[in-house]
Amino acid sequence: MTGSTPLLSARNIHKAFTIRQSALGRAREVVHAVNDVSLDIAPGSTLGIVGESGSGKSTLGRVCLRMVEADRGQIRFGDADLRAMPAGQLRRTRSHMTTIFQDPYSALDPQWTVGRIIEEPLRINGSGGRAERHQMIADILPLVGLSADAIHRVPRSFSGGQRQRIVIARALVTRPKLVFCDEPVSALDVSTRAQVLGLLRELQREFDLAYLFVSHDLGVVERMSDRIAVMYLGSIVEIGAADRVAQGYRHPYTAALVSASPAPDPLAQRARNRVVLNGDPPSPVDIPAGCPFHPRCALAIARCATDKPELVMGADGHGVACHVTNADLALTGDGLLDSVLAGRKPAVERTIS
Amino acid sequence: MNWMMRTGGAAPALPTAEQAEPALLVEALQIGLVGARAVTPVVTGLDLSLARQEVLGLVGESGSGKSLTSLAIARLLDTRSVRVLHGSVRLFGRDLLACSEAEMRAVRGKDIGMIFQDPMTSLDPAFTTGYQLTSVIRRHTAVDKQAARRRAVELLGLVGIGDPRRRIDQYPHQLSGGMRQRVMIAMAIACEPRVLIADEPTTALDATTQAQILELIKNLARTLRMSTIITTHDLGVIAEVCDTVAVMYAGQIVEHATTEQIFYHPQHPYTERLLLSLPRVGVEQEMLGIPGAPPRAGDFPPGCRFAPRCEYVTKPQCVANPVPLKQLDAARGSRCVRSEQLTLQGVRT
Repeated sequence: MTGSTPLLSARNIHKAFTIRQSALGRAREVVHAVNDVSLDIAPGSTLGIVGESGSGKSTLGRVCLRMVEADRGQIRFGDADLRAMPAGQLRRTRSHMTTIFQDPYSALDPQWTVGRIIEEPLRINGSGGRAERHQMIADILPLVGLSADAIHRVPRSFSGGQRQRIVIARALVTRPKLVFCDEPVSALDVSTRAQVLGLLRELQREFDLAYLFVSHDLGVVERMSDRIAVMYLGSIVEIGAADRVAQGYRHPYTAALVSASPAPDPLAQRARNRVVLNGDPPSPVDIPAGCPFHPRCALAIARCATDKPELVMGADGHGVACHVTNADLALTGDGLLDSVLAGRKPAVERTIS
Repeated sequence: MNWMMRTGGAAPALPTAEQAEPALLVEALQIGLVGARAVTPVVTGLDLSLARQEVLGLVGESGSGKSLTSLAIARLLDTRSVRVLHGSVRLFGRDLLACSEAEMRAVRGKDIGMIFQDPMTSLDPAFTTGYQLTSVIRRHTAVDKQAARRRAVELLGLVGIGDPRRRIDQYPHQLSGGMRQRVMIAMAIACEPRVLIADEPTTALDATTQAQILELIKNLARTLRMSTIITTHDLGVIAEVCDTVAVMYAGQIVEHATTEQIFYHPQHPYTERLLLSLPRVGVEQEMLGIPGAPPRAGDFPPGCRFAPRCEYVTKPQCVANPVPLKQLDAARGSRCVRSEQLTLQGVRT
């Protein structure tokens, strides 16, 4: 993180959607999808964003690539101000930041041949002549594990995993620097998933790609990421190196997420105590005041209901937005999990509130 | 095995003949896709035995036939496109495939409770949860409206819905995904069925909600003494709730065993590779995956159906003839001709 200039840098991003509006424009329902989020992605590295549905993780990714406009905040891509960019320059920049979508069934036009699908971004960018474009397609196919004859076939004749390889080829044919992977393996079967994740990692090394990797699956995110950001109701509640967040987590919500992640190990699974959170996540229409997690948090103190905690970054690049754990640095990993399970309010309560 | 586990390992009394009879016995089940010209078998020669109060996991990837199997048991296949070609399904000895549609309507809900993957499409958006719940109750039991409503409130409380008196008058769209799944579960258990079939019950849910719902299913199965089949593609779900597991691949059961045997000592290469395909939070282990893709129905290889993707394949044993399910001991069987020669890797503890 420190040292090299980030490839993508977002500061204080806000994004809200109006989902319902009365005829007079008064009674509105507003989804606060992203609230004051900042992040950096270093060249060639992966930032994983993990969160449940409604956490705003996909919206954040889309805003960072300017697929939707942020309401507020700055986004820099390399040296350029992405949000101030005129349309022509934005289109050229887009070839350097591409997307791999979740569902390889709906992301591909069923009537187009694979060759045409992969050529499309090159045509939009006006890169090269016909022969040159065809050479670029021929070059990318073996890299994603597809045979050369694939270009004449239509998506229907491919399995889910192979279709995702087509989606990946389309995302990489313009030789981007940053790829937004939006739940890239969620629609795939377990055995295919590992192949596609392995391919993404190979391609990352080969082309020095940076990934913004969004998923609800903490196991997958941990495996793919250098750094992980945990989102809850539009805010990053914890961010840091992947192993630190997955094992030395410091936010009570991360503790719940880790303990809810199913492990393929029946003895460990049954022996461990898991945090079963009360109730459902509140709707992003109606985000609680203070810490968004406080109504479900076993460690919440009075202050959590009124003051939204800031993401306090430590010297090691590990940051957490929690009044309680930021006041007691010993609350981390298994120790934090134990406290959450016991519903124990830590001793610091008196000193903070 | 299962019975002993539930009694905490105390010496079991000898089971009577009636107790020994499984809750559900599926034999030689064959399911076919009905096409314009031909019928393509998708599930072939499937045998399954669900002991009383056992929680059995039917695990497999998409297209393996696990959901078709569970739907066939409840006779819920859309017979215009999918049909049971032969075989038998016995619920406490009664042949369900021989039942009339009217008899089946009495069985479903009363003897067999069902939970489906997506509660939004399984609940009717036009009716309140209370209406849908009381309809199930009144269909199968002779109670008046007030009693049915009291029972519905009680059920909503039982499945962990807070403020059931208010929720009962709400519509499905007013509930969160987790709550809708709880309503589905309340409907499934309303008449205290002896068998519960849950088809991918947590696939549409988030991790923390999934944990809650699995906890609920596990507790209800125990307290209501239900025998349960859970189909899933997620081995984490199996590890969490199941006593025994049947692994399906390309329309067949390729291995069945107790949950611990499956995870720590798999006896089929497909099971091994499936276990090694999973990422685990906080555990460094290479995710291997399986090369290639499963065969499509109608295109099953003549020998072992996993052979084209298997790293242990030897010719001609594996590819010449169909491989039967070989019984290895009382609890387990494997459809691998080499299972006794291979030392397969399970999950490391």
